[in-house]
Amino acid sequence: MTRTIAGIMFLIVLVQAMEGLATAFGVHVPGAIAAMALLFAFFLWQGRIPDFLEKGADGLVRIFPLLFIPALVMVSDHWAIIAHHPWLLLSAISVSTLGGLAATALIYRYLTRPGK
Amino acid sequence: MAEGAFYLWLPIVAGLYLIADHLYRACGQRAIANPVLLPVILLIASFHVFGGDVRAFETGTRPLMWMLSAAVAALAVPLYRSRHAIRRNKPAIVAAIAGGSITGVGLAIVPALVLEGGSSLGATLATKSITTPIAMAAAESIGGLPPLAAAVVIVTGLFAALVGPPFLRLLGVDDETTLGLALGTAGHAIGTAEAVRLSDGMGAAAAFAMTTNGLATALLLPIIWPIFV
Repeated sequence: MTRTIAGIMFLIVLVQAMEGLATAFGVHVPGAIAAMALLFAFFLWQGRIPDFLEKGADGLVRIFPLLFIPALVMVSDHWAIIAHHPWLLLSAISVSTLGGLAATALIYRYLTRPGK
Repeated sequence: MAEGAFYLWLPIVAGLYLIADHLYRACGQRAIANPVLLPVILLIASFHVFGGDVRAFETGTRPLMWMLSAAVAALAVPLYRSRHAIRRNKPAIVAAIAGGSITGVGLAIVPALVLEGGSSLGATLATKSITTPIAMAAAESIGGLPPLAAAVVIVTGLFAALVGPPFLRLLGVDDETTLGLALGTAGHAIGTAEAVRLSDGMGAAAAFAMTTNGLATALLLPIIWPIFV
């Protein structure tokens, strides 16, 4: 439990630090993305994931859905856009999702077909 | 709720989530019972019916936003763990994720740009197939609307998780790597959760597709976007 909390705290501080660095250098990369790339490189270099980070990450992933509830509720701020374009939004979402699914699956199947 | 009572929002959100998560488990973790839906619908409805101070809500739930950013950084862990799942056929996997991602983004923004949608709507829709926190950051950096991006992403993920597996079987796709790659590329974290539920191999392929697609889209969109608008 202590390690999980330590891991989560470390991740929060790391993201804020990367955010600060990105702002200081005027780079348009979100702090969280920069932190993810840095951690992945670190794991590859070490050949393993430090225990407290693994526990912290698993803790966060387990409550992932909870974390985006506030973000979704804030959509109330943009109710006018949704009410104005409901069909545009729904059709864009359904058509492009089916297209994305089909393209990924068919490209992979084509490139790995037997005899190739 | 009075503005001074902002600290009540965190326990309210957590409580609603615990109830919803309990129902989700009771339903065998099916995507349709996703524990995000119930609290969000209740909270949005209550803001509409009772008014309520959205700013106090925003202040009170800020710790969850910090944890959300931390959770994105934490995706380095599943990415590292899934690196073996993609050892074979690496070029095919990368090509499939890139092709699926470009197709998805293209099909999403064309109607928005052609119709009356305007470019902030197009910029929002462009981020729809990458996991919520990355999408919000990416939407913000290309002039989209982060909260709307979050909603569009969740609906996309639910749609991919629900319709994806039967739709792909209809196309004759039945091997777990292919299904996982498609679910992770088009359905991000929710599609990945569904893939993990279906099988370990599918889950690993989906985790890799979700993180690489999210990372590549977030890094490339701010560079490519200005060319189109």
